[in-house]
Amino acid sequence: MSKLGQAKRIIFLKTADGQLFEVDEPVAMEFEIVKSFFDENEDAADDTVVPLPNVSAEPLAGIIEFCKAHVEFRANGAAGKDEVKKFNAEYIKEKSNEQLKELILAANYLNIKEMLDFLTETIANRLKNKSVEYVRAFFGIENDFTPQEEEAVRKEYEWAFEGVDED
Amino acid sequence: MGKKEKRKNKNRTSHPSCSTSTTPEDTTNLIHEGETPDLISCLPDEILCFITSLLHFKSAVKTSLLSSRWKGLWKMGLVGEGTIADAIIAVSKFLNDFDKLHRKRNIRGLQFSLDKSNILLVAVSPDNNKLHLDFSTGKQEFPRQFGWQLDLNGLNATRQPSPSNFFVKSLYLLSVNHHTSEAVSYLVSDFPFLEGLTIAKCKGLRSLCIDASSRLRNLAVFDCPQLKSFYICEASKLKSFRYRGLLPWFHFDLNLDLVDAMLDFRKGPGYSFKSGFFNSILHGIECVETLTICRWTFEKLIHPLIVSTTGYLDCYIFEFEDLKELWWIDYEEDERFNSDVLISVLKLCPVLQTLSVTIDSKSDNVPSTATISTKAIGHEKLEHLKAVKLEGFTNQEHEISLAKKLKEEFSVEPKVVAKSQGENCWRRLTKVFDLQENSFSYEFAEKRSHINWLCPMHPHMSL
Repeated sequence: MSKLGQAKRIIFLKTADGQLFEVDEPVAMEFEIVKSFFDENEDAADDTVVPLPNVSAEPLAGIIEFCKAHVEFRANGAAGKDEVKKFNAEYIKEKSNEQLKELILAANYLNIKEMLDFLTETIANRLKNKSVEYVRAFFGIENDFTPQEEEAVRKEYEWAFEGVDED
Repeated sequence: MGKKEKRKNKNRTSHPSCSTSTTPEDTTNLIHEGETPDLISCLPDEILCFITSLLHFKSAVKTSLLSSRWKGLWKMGLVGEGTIADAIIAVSKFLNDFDKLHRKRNIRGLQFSLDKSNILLVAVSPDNNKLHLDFSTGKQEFPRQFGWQLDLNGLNATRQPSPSNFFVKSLYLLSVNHHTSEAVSYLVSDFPFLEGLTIAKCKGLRSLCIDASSRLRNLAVFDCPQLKSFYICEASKLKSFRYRGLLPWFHFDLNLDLVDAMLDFRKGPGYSFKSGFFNSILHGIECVETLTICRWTFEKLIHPLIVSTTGYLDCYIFEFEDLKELWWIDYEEDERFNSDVLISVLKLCPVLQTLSVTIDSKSDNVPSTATISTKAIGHEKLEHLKAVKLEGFTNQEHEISLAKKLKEEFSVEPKVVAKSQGENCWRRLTKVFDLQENSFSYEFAEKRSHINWLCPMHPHMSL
């Protein structure tokens, strides 16, 4: 069980590419998968290394950065304030689509709800009100429809647009 | 706090798909390069569904066009499993909870696995209160024939829907079969506000009887290949009737007063008919503004009625007095196009604005026997005709001769655009002065790929 309030505990995480991370306990406990590991192994030794076979070092570093900042925001009572929004905006501004994808996969595996919500919303914002062609190019999605298939899909969903005002 | 996190090894190995990773500055160039690996399609279904659920409805639906990976993801909101009866309960519950629970979370669909590995896909379009029930996914067994009676009068609706509930105004039913029809009827009887109903691709559907409510304004039946008889009662407010498929035996118990009629019987009749039965439909379409009709239907069903009517009452001349948009489906015989029937129809359309002609080589299975003279009684002017769109002709000569005929018969020269079989582009007909002949002649110029160029598409053509 986590021992909050006592001497600062360090959690050891090992990534798929073999790197060892030392993470402050409150930050590591943001990861549902790590939290349940320790919940299930209450007598785990302090130097237990938690293996994360589905996460590599780069996204994990990004996730730690995000979670650390958010843990601090909460500790300072800044949650939900402009400061957080500013941090989030800055954080995501530097991320490429590729990095964003890796972060989502990792956040999904580690089961970090707050971060996953934020990342998926970021993707949604990149899709919002964009043409199909733009989104394909932006995310490198290959159009595997033949023109006939594409037309068929268009027709299939025609009903959804009938009577809806154009944007 | 937390200063100790650090990566022990900076020389990390990169993830396979990281090999072409891009810096943020690059992303603006991706559009031009088009060579980036697909970065988000490999995310699991649940995440992509979650992402689409964050989008506005239209953006969410449009993600289906990105690639086959994305097709239909927007409506995979909830999942369920059980019998058809369970499915109907789940749909009712989904609709009842829609405003309370699902609209906030933007869940627009429900996937229900039925027995025999069939799946019911349910989707709603919250902006216009549409419900879409699609039974077409899964194993298609040999369809057993069935008759279907649909009562839209909401008799089973004992509970009054509260204003917060999602109430269905338009309903789309796809691939309903003998196994599912009864349950769908039960569900439909719970929609007292239904204004529009579309039934499509119901294999095995042999007879359809719709007990319409006074609210029903739009009814469409498409591509039900075995449908032989179609009975509609009490459709007093019906304004739009759209049908595509073999001509069934129709019966309407009330006089219709349609504004929009699509009678796409290009595949021919589904049984041996007598023209008299078409009387009720003919009166129903007399005041339409938008019409789709095939040549054989006019020749065999409408023309005999018009002739006999004018025979009895000399002062009465049938015409489509309000018709503005006509889609005429014709055919060529031995690569020759006979425009006489079309011209005689145009004489009945005094206020026509746009004419679309489609040559469908498969629609000639009811060979012409009647000879219709272009000298038929009617109007000599088509002064409102602004645009003509020709599609599927085998020969440009036929297109040009039709344009000439319009000039001869009606003294009109509307814009003419054409696209022949196998062509991708629309051509526009232009008039040129021939110095040698000292007269005008026609030729095609200006190619465009955009369909709505110059001439808006007939509303029925996209169905």
